[in-house]
Amino acid sequence: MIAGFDTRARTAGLMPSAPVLIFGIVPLVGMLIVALAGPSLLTTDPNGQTLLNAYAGPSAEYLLGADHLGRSIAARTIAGARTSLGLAVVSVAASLLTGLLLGFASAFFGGWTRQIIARIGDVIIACPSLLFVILVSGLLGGGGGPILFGLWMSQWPSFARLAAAVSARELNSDHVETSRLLGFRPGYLFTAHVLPAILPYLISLGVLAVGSNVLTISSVGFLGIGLRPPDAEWGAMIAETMTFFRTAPHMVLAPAGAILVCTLSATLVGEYYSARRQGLEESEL
Amino acid sequence: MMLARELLRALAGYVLAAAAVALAVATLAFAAVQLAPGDIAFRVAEARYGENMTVRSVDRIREAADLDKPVAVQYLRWVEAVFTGDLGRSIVSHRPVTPEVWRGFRSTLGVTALGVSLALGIGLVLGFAAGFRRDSLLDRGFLATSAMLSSVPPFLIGMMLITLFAIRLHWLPAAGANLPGYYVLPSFTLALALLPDLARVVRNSAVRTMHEFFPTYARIKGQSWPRIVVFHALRPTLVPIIAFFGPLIAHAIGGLVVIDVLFNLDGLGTVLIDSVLNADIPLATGAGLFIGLFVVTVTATTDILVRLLDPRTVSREAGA
Amino acid sequence: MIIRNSLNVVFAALALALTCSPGFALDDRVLQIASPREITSLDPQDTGFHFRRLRVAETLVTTDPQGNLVPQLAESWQVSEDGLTWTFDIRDGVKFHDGSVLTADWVADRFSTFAEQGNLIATLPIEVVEAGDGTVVFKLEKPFSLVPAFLTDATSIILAPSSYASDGTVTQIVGTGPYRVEVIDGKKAADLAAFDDYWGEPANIGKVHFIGATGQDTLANLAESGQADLILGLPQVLRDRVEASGNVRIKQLQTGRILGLLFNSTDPRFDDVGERQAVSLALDRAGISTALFRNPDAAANQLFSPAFPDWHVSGAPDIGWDIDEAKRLLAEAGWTSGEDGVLVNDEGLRFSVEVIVGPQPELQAMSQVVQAQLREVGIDVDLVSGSYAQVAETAANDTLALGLARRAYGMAPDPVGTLLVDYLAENSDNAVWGGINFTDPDLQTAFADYLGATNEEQTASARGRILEIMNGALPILPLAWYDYNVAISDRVDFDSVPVDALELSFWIDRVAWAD
Repeated sequence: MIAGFDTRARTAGLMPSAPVLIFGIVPLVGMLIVALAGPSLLTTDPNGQTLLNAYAGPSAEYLLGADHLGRSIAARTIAGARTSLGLAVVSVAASLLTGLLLGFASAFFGGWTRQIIARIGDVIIACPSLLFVILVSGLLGGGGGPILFGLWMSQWPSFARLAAAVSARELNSDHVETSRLLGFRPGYLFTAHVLPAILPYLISLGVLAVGSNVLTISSVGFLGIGLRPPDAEWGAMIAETMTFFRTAPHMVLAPAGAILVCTLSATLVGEYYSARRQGLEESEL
Repeated sequence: MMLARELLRALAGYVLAAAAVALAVATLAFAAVQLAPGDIAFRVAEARYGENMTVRSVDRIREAADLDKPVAVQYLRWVEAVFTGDLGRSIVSHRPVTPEVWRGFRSTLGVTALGVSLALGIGLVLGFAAGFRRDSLLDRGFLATSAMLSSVPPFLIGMMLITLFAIRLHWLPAAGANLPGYYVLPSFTLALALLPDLARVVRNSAVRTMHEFFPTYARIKGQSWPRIVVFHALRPTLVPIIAFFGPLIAHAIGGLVVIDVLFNLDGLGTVLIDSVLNADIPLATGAGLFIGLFVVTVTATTDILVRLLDPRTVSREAGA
Repeated sequence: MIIRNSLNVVFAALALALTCSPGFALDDRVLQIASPREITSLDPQDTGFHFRRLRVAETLVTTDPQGNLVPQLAESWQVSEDGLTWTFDIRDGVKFHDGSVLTADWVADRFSTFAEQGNLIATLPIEVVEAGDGTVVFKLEKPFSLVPAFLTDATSIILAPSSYASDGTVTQIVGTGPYRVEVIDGKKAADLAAFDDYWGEPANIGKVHFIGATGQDTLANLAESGQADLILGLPQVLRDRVEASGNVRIKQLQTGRILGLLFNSTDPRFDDVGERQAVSLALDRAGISTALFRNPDAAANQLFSPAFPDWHVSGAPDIGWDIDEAKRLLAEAGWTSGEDGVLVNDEGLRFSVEVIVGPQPELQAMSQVVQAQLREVGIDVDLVSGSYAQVAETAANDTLALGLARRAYGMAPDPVGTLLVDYLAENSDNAVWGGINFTDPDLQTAFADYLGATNEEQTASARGRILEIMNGALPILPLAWYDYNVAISDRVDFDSVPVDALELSFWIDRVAWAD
């Protein structure tokens, strides 16, 4: 009963205001759908080359023009959604889950567990995340796997720290003490008490992380150690075509626009929930 | 006295953590080089001789750099070298590691310092202004613009700046570090990349202070506004901003790699990346060590500053 | 209020800073040059060619912009009747940048160490090098007509004794050229100043600043913004963009460098000449050259480009794009189409090849095109992003099945130099880019004949045979010839900039300002 009351109060503010909805949630969800639907939306092969049509501008045949190898930019941008955005989301989900579990464990068990997890986390946070991803991805020859691994490795400590902090606060609070004394197991404490408390933080941090990951993936693609060719990826597309920016700008604008929309919408949503949480906190003071 | 003892303990903890972190980061670089697919000697030969490599030159490299010894031996040799302070020479260029890393750091330092200062200057001004007038038109506009700016990848920002200032207007150099004003565009790019997050932290901190402070202000009424700001509002507002310094610097160093590539600067990030990709173990571990130590130092300094400025944070859990 | 005032201050400061700075210096006194190579080390085997290009260091023999051999540190040379003794007269009165004098003893001393390094020199069958009276004498184990050509090898640049540390490594570049090194800043920048005591004609321009920029976009930016006076080695694909910016003109030459495919001649997928020819026919060279290099003439119809007039068979037909013929050749070699469209042979082996692709942009682009086009004839290419070193490694240890590589045949003025390095049987352990498991005794005979030739007729005959084998058996399949582009800003006198197809030198000592 008490737990239920807390949950409701804390998750009450999940519905966003109008501008955030239009500029944040709608584009984000839209892009996610495009990423998921992926290949079925494509009528042209994103890797199909027609060298004769290289550098072609937008036309009836090529909606957004063709790149330097005659591939349809529209098709590649859509295909890129699956890689750039998809990879970002998956890595955040992985980091989130790991961080959540490890953070809760460190708060619940304390002692050596907490020390070890905290120290490892400190070591990882010391290394700038882009550098980390570059190291891992560059050495292992690029590709989705190494990038995913690099992103996950560099991000879970942030979630773990957050989870540990909130878990510690919750576990020390009176009603959780009560639950504990009543003999409820850690699993229940986690799902009933800690999880609802963490949720608002997680949403904002997670969505922001998706936005930042899209940027990191595109930066790594730009540096040339991203996903393997010929798969489309927004950052790599920009790197491949940016030398022709002044003569054929359409090749850069589509993927750049895609990165912008993705990151922007993620940031708007993330910031909004972060502000909401702050508002809730203030109202509790 | 309690505070001093706590500070000392924290300091000791940080020194230990610094050593552990630096060692770990440099070990990561060593491991990363070892894990690379393909023969390390070939990587070094390609970096050195390019297409003109011969099998004999590869063998020579392998012998000279002990690359044919087992990994454990190489690692132990390296650990020994680090603790005796001699980081050796780059396998690729044969130049001593420490001056090389230091040179990279110096070019990184100039641009980073300038970029961070710019971001701080503009961020503090804009953030405070927006925060103190929360939900005003200014605040909303600020949030929207900052969200948009943080969504543009730093390499795009750099590209656009180069196109405008170097190619169209011919005001500033497009690359390199020899012509006057070369630092302007890279540091501007860095500043623009760091600005949104920093300004948001400032703004949120200002908002929080205003909220916490407002009731108190009502009680202190009668005191002049500037006096209140300086003596009461400033310190708690600055705390989260200073605490953000660590992540900020880490973010900056990460972004510098991209800026180094765009502007052809020989910065620390590029030194690390190139050395890792070339399997240049001494240089890679030297650079990794340096970056690790640097970030830990910044984090430690800001943490101690925070503790000094606001002892409450010691007991308050570090929330998001 | 606060914000408006603060912003005003910030903008005012910015404006002040920008107007006070002199913009970037359009300094008439320093020639700004850039090229895609960095100064990765001071090892002559690594950057010898670079310091020679920068006119800081010199070799015994060099070439002129037309590719003819000319004397440099050696004034003249003679060969004995039996072809086994070569005598080089060392020029008198040559000073190093630190003031010391060049002696024949020192040169002979240097050559005793060069044999272990370098590509060309290592292939010379030298028995002993001795110093004579102002001469250096090379005693050979067998006749070798290319000794002077091989002495253009940049790893044999002669540096002063003060350049070397006690363990033999180079600590500074003290050469004999018209420019001396003032400062080397890291690997991306160097400052040069004219050397007053140069033995030959002094340089026109007193100061040079060199920028090493590996990023394509950076090079183009340097040209377009006018920051660099000369871009030496502008990638072909940037030509249009740089030319369109105005204020920059481009000189273009076809070089002896190729972009091509390496085959493993004992791999069941490529052991038949028909298979290799099929791959050749399946690729649309004209389309590739136009799209990737913006130059249809870059399509290679043979191994040697017009940069080597003696070796280039002018009037040879272009290799057409013939998918049907390619399929027929593959079928003849025993390949039939499998269910997924990929070819399968009698033993059930799928014609699927893994190709490691280096990070260089033109390799990346080319590999994707090759992959797409070979798919049309049923060859499945799996691209793996890796370092170029891995390509070299697999080529050296003969595990490479198919590889995309660049090869420069202009290492010496005579392309046979590179061929010897790659294909000479005695050198096969040391060769990296040679034919993979490619052995042809006729080729070795032709080499021997070429080196032992005493007249033009014998040379031409041996040359013909070599060409037939290289262009016919296709141990390496040329796809495109690289162009060498020099972007020249209007501050520089366009006609004063020589360019050479062998890319041996930047010729900066001959460059003059436009006024």
